[in-house]
Amino acid sequence: MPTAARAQDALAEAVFTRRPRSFMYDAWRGLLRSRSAIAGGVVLALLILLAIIAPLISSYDPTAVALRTRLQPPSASHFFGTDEFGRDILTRVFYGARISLPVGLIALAIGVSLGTLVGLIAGFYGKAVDALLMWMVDVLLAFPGLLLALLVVAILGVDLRNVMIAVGVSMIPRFARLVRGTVLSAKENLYVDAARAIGVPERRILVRHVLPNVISPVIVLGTLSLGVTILTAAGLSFVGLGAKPPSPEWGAMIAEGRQFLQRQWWIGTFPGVAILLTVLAVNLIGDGLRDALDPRMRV
Amino acid sequence: MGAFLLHRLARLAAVLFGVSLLTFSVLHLIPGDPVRVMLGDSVSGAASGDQSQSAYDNLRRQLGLDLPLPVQYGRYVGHALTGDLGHSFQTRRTILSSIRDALPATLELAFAGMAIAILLGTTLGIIAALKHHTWWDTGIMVLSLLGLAMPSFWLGLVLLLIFSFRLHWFPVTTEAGASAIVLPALTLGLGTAGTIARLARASLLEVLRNEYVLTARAKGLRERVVITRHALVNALIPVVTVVGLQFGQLLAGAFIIEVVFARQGIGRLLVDGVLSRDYPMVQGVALVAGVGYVLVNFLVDLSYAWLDPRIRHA
Amino acid sequence: MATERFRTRLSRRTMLGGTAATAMAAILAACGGGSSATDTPKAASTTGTTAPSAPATGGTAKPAVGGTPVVVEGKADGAPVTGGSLTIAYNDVPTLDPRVSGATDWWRAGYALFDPLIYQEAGTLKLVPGLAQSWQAADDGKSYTLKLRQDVKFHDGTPFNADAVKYTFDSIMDPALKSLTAIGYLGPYTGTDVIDPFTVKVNFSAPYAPFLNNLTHSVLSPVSPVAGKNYNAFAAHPVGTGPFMFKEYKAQVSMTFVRNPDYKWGPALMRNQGAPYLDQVTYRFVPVGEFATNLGLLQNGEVQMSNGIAPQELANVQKDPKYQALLPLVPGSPQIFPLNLTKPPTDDLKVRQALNYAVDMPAIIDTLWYGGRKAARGPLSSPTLDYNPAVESYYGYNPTKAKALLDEAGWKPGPDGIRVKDGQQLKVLTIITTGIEGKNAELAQAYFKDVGIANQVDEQEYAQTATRYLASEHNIARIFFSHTDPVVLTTLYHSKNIKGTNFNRTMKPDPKLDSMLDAAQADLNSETRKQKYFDIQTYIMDNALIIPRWEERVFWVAKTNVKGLHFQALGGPWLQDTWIAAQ
Repeated sequence: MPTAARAQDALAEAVFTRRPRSFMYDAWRGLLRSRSAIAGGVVLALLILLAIIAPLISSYDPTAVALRTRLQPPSASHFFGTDEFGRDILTRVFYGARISLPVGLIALAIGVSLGTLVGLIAGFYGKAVDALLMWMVDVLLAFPGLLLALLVVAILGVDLRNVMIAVGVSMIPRFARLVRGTVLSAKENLYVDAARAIGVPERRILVRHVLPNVISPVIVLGTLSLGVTILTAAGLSFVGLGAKPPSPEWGAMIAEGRQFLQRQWWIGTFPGVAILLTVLAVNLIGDGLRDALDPRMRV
Repeated sequence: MGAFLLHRLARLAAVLFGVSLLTFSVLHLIPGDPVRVMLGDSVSGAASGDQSQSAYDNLRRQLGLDLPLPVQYGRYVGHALTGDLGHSFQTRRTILSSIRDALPATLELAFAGMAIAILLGTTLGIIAALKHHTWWDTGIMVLSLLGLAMPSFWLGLVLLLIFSFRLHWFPVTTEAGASAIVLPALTLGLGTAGTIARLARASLLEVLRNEYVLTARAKGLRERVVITRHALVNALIPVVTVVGLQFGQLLAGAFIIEVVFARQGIGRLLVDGVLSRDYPMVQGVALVAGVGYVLVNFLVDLSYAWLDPRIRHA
Repeated sequence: MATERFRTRLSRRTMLGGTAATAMAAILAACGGGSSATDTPKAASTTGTTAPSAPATGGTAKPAVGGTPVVVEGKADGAPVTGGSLTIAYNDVPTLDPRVSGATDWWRAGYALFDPLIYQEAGTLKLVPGLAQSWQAADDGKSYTLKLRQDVKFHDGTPFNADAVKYTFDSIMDPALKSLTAIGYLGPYTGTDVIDPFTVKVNFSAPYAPFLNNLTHSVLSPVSPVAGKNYNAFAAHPVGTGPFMFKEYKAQVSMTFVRNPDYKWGPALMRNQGAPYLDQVTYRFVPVGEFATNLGLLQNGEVQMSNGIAPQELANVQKDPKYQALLPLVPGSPQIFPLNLTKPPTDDLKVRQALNYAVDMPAIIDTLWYGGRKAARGPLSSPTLDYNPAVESYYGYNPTKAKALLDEAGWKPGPDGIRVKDGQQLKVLTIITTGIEGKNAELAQAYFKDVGIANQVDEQEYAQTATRYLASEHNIARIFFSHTDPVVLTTLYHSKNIKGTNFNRTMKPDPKLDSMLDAAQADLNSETRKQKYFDIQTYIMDNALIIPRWEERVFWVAKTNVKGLHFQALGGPWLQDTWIAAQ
């Protein structure tokens, strides 16, 4: 097995298959046991809340030009200072959460759904279908993470929507391999054989008996991957391949702040802190979730 | 071993075929007209539009865009095999020479980042494990979490601002000797250092709980000997495996760091290529990076199989 | 006129926040307009290198962004020092072959390695003998005879002569070379006759008036016929006759030139006609738009000169005695918003005029450039040959007039302030590149809204904008072209450039304008030609084909001890007269 593929399977192993029924309960109990996961949850909830109520707590417009307050350092009226067009950075950071969080989530959703689909089909039908799909996954794995996303953006064109697709596509292999592995082991279970023996249609077996086994590991790996999608999407916007100014997307804001690095450090610094906090919160929840569902892998 | 090798080679060929197919299709999957993009309005001052139109037609022919697709693919692979990756739309230089010039800088950054990640990661991981349940441990774990969550491109700017622009400890350009690699490598390595630290800590804690360590202690060996002789060696085995796995990620991570530090490298070739729609450049860098990564993985796999016969039958 | 503009801008102050930007606009308005003498290097060097300031306006509202007028030429005080090396932060250049290059940055740097046949003085645009000692156009305008210098050698030892000139032009026409710019500059070239070893006759299939001006451009400079033969090798190691010789190029890193010790054929344009003072010039490549990196390099002393400093640094640099800020103007088409005449609502002349009246472009430009650029008023920049000052009486900020024009065109104010006609809202789409261009469009957007125009701004990468312009999706596009000759108007407004190159982004063929442009290009009489170009400029403004934005400059920052800097018409430094004084 290629090394990159082994990395994916190591991740698959890291999330341990469980009986689906008790999954939510276990997850919740486990999360509540972990103080860091609670902290992560609180931070994330706060960020989401701020994103939602941003118009209520800030009287500033995130994109409108206000030259009177151009390039002001942090102060009582602008906690994070203002940018070149006089826009309040704090307000833009709040509004930016409305872009950066959904972008990471949508990219993840694309990767999870396509990856799961590929893994399910490959694992369940096996043989030529499996070989073909896994060949495609191997080809995608030939381009490590960001490189694949860059290639997809090159094809689709520079745009925030395309960044979501690109980051999503770069997430496909890890979910495809995880799901395929889980399906292969589930297929060996007695109840699948039994179902087949009594003549349950293949598709029904897939949906009823195999799919539930997949849910728990996918959710854990998904949570652990959300930080990656947020970081990658922001990185692509930072190099100019995603969100465009005046959008308050965090990566784009850092790129803009970069031109003012020496004298107006605040323009690029605060959006970076926002990304850091968000990814930290998401990772803490992911760690907690994994620990809850697979105590063996506590790292 | 023979059958194993044959199977592996077949698989390698299949993946390489897929990689070439994917990079080839870049030029054909894109929306819009690559020829127009290449002409650009840098063709400034051209007094006659007629000439520009004929330049357009010439270029289209030169790129072979008027040929049937299978013929184009055949030409693409044939040229690639002889090292001819075409010419950059932007620079007119051959893609191969551009990549040859830039690749060493990228590898240098990736290796330097890796070195920092390993040194920092294992050191911190070991300290955390040995000082388990102390503030050291907690502090190091928090740091590693921060390292993992930190957007590297932002960290790079912060380091640049503090250490280069303000303190003048490090040069801004990359061509200024060994000290120029420090900030980019640190930026690149910190995230991976976090991963390695967590892993090394967990692994060492696990080993320290094992019986042979307990036995060694019971036999009255000094703590330092126990740790260095027995525990560390065993604890670092999983770390070494993960380091191998992380290298591809580091290489890709180097791409963005190059942009942050305006550093020479194939990552900048690729990003600039995407931005300026220099498709031959995008294709070339993707092909070289993809094929290189696949081949390195292949060799690593072979050596694993050679070392551990069980894998051959897996 | 300056006063009037100032008043309209003051009325804008409440909305803009009445700041620095407006005050700066006033200062620039005062020293702007027409081909102001203060912008020419000659005048600047005699008036102590600064343009007259405008203390009255500068004093009333203290500009936060700096009120020091821009300077176009460096000081040349003290005795020149021979030796030393100069490092310049610069954009990476693609190919190094001038015959091939399509990059402004190489054109500017190329003058160090290549002498053009004719030099041109920035500002006056006067032609000065270079490798050609004299020139004569045939009466029919279809050929030019050039007498060449006889004491010139290429860097590889090849003697410079008529064959070299013939070789250079012929090779430019060779499709295998894939010339981007030079081939256009040769126009209807048919061949070169070698009359004697130092006389050539260059032939064209049609009268070609811009030829002499085109010869001043570095892309038509003679190349060594020996080294030039191998196109690929030459692109990696160019060989010319210039004051510096090529040493090495490292992609993404740097490029280095060294002194040509044999150089003794410098043009009268230079103070020093012999070998240059500097031993070596290194261009340290920094990607375009990396403002912070450029500033860092300069502050750390890793470079002594840069053309990539952020616009907002202008005032800081001007205040700092360690640096000199030099901003040579670039002639040609200024930065403009071409308007699409085939897509509603900009197919309506009244709407296009209203768009012109609606924006306070001088105020926007000052905001955008922190005082480092001046607003353009017509289709040519003021330092361009045959610039018509009459364009300055057109339009100008007047929202009342804009509203009246829109009323006349049938667009009545709607419920949400956006005008409506036949149930349709008045919407215009701007498609533009990112960065300062995009910011320009964002600032204009607010002004359009004030008069009831909904303006969508799509900021995209260059390549995407180019595709969408060709598809005629825009109402408002962008373009900029540098050239000293007004023939640039053919490139931007002739119908043959709508399809294909798409440099004409007004999108609508105009037979009348075409014939005016063709006639002007073929006219060899400088007086009648001037009149023809004057008429073309007013025709373009009468029909509101564009909204002029700003006259391009290059923002050079150099350490104060870099002496003797003066600039090409294209905005690059002549390094021949440059030396580094002891600090």
